[in-house]
Amino acid sequence: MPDLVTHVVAGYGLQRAVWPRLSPWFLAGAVLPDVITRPFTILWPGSYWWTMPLHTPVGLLLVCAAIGFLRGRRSVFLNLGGGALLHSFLDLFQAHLAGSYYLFFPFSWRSVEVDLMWPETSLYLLPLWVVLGIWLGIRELRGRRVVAEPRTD
Amino acid sequence: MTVRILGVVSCLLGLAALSFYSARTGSAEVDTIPEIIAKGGLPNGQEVALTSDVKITDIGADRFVAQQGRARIGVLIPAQLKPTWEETKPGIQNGDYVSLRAIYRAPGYLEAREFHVHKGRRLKIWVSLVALLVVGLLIVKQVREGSNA
Repeated sequence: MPDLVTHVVAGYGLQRAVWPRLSPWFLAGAVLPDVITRPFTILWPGSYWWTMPLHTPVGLLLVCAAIGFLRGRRSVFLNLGGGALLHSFLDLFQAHLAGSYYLFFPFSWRSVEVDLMWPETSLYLLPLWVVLGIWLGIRELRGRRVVAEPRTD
Repeated sequence: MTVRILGVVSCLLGLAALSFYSARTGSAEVDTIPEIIAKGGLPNGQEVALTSDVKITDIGADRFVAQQGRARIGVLIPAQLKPTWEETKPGIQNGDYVSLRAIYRAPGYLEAREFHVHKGRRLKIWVSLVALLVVGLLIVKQVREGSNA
């Protein structure tokens, strides 16, 4: 996985480019696959195969659907799912010595990735993402202020 | 309301089934040290791949100890990987993450075939926690405002 700052900024940038209003649920989707798996594998490595399905498209579909049902809104499901899809897409560009992403689980154990960079390589681009994220955030806040202020003329 | 509850329960049951199937079947591609130890070792010469949250401890001239959770196993660096090891070793600290392909040697150590030390992984985890905090705050704000958009 790239770091979560990269995932969040990518999610934020993509969403702002496509939709006029930011939904935090899309950003939550962009971090969801790692949030529901990595803490367990870091603390209890033996749990790897138990949590692995939560980082696959079918598993994520079920997690997003469960949260969508819980909140009672289709938009929550769609935003979470969109963010999680973006996360999975970005993860595909990474390299591992063995066992990468089981996109076709539970139908196949074939793992897939593009082998472009090591998972920690995204850190070298982190300053760029932080500056971009701050710039986009300031633009968003300014946009909201302009909408909120009444016209005086 | 009933539909929502049924929906959540169905999804959770589906996830439980997927997890159980994954844990029972697993992939032959990736091993874990707890698995290797639980089996009481492996046949001599069997290939293993450790890629998930393995830490380096006890760094030596031509060996290190790989640790996953509480489970530990020694890893020997063979002559052909020595140049790579010498090149990598200066920047390594105890607790850095590593991925490796290796051969199991009886009575209980690994002989590396290929390895990669993820030197930035610990920083990556801390950086990710900051991003997680920001997203968490946005979600809490959204839920408090009662908006699901």
